[in-house]
Amino acid sequence: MGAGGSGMRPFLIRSAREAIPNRSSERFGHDGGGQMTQHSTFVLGCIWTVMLQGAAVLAGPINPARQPHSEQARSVHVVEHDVDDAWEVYHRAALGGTVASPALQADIELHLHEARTLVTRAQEAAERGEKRQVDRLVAEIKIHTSQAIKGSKEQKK
Amino acid sequence: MRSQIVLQTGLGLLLVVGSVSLSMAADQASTDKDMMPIPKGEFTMGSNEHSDEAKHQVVLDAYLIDKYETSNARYKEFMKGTGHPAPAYWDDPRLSKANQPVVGVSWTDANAFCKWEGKRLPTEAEWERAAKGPEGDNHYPWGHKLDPKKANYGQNVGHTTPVDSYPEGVSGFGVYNMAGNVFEWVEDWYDPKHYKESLALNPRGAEKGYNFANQGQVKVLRGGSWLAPETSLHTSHRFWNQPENNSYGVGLGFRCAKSAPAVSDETIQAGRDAFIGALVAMGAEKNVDAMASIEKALAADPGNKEYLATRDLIKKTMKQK
Repeated sequence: MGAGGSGMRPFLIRSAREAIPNRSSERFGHDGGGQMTQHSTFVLGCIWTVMLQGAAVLAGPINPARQPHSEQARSVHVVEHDVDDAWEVYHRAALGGTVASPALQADIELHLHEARTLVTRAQEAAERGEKRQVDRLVAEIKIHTSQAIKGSKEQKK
Repeated sequence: MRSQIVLQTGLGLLLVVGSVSLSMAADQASTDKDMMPIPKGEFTMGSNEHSDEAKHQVVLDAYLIDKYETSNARYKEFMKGTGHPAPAYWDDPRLSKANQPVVGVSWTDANAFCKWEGKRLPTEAEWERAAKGPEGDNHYPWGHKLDPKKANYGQNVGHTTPVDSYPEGVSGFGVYNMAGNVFEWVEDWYDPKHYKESLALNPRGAEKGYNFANQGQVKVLRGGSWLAPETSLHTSHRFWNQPENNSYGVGLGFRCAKSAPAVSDETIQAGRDAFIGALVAMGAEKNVDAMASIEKALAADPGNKEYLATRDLIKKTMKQK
């Protein structure tokens, strides 16, 4: 899944990187290097390589075949950006004093809050792989964001 | 001996009373320093631009208004003197220089500051008259044509500018930054329909503010800001915010005002007499005497248009000679 997947990769890489230097510092710390045999160097080299490969496999690009709900997750991710953009448009109008009326401002905020709530529900639905539910929620979110943007751009009469 | 003691005590008391009244006068002078006197008069409040700012005639008693928006330096004194907490963006390097206007303040902060300085927030009508100038109907403080060299708005600069910036953009009353730099809190509650039922004499705004999204009533904001586009810049533009809300405070400050002390009938008459004296001196071509008399008249009634025009005329005559 989009957001979760991109969150996993740095975590695993970090784990592998942290694990290896810690061990090496235990073994080869300040005075340990001179006592090492060629054999142990070879064994450690092998372990090092295996671990690096493992990390690379885990940190690789998301394989759609292994992520059955990635398409839904991606569409939720896109619509989540749309909601952020709509908030941005609204913030600009509020900072600039260009919102057409307090009633409209209330309306815009309502649309934006509703959109945020629906994004959370859509993310949950995507995790469960409920495609129809995700599509329905995404369509609803799009209506709310477009209404919020339209309202934010409305000129004072 | 006894009479000597009484005399000394009396003198001592006189000295104390004298010094107290002198220091009070000095305080008064320092608070009123950098305030512009706005004479009693009528003006057209509102414009044809938006439905919430319908044009109507308003008469205001004389008052004084801060020449500049409240600066960070002044606000710092207030924080030091009262223990009032720092507003939002206080440490933002783009906005925190001493001579920049304070931002991130709520209405409550602004109100507390003005009270601390022995002043109050201006009413919406007072704010607008100070912005429109003696002509009474300027669309922008400096006139009717938008000029980016006369105000800080629309992200043209990217931050607030010193409170004494844009001297060429002052209002006809000499008040700075009435367009752009920071939005300014005023005293009144905001109600989009209020102008249609507003009082003509010294209006103080709606009784209650519009309560949008049940977040509480809103107060009026005036003047546009460094972030606001040109559509928010004209002298009648109204915006709103909850008094405790400073979430859009990066361009939100204030200035203070106070009512002018009542002028006695005797002072007004003395001014009138001095004015007539000036006219007589002008007739006799005694321009120096005429100037002295008109200054006396203006001291009694600083905003009197007739006196101001006469002074200009005397100045012109003196230059010609």
